Amino acid sequence: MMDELQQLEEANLVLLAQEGDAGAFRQLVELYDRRLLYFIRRLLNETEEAFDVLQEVWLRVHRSLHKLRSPRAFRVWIYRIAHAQVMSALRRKRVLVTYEELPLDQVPDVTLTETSFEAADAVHAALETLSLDHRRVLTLRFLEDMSVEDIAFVLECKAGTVKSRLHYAKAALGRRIEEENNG
Amino acid sequence: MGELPVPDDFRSQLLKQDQSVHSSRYQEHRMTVESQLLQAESREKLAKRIVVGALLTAAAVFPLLASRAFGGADPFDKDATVFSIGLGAVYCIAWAVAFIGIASYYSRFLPRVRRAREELRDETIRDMRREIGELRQLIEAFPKSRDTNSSSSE
Repeated sequence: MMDELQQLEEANLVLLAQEGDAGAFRQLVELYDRRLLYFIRRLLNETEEAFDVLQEVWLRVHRSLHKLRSPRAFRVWIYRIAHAQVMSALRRKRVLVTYEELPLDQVPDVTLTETSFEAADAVHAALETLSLDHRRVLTLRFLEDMSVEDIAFVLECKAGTVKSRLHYAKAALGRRIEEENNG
Repeated sequence: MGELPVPDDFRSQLLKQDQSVHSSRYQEHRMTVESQLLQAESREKLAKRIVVGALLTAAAVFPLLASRAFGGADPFDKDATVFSIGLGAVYCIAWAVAFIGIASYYSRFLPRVRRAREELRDETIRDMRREIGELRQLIEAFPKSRDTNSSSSE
């Protein structure tokens, strides 16, 4: 219920920012800056570059906020911009990001259990060791609780691709956490 | 997907793990973002001021040119002086700047598009107010129903 209220408040802030309210834009920065930094840091693995990319993201958001039609889509829209900026930065560094597509019927349904959320430090540490493709889907899932469709929009790929990536990423994460616990 | 939603506090716990989010470098970054936003805003304000200034300049120069007090603005005119030709050039430049400024503003916010967007926004605000009202009613009703349940169980 509070989630819904927060979403409405956020949509209201987006509308005000679109009308040129600088204070509302600052509040959006306050709301998203740390989360975006976490996301960008996980993808880039470099703090300084992450700050540069994040600053560019905010400038782009400021320039093109008036183009956003649905204020409720702000969250996925801003992550899409951030993801695109990270990909550009990685391309400049010549890091190749590839998808592996699997047919939907071949993707087993993996569910998150309550124990997945018991140790944020273990998830955080394990995330560092996963591949870029796994890191980005898991960060969006854990940090923003995004649906498969929203993640697909952010990553600009098909929902089926996200579903399969998410499955393998969760399996890899589980293995890493287990290794950490055993080791 | 039939999955558990990620608990609210998991995000904050995850964020706490990243040292860069809480470092002094982060504060520095926030100041940089703030100054960049201020710069972007001041650039927009400056562009508006330039357009207004250009229009005012054109309005101020026009009577001087029309009265031919300093001679004709046309360089081939017999009455033309350096000053009057200069005024004519200022007048043309002022109009050009104003025209470009207004055209770029309208290319961004075409009136029809803007109206449609405003209508959409008004509609969203109405929807949001209605939803907020419904949520408030739910929140207000929640403790009452809990009290009723607890008293009935006693």
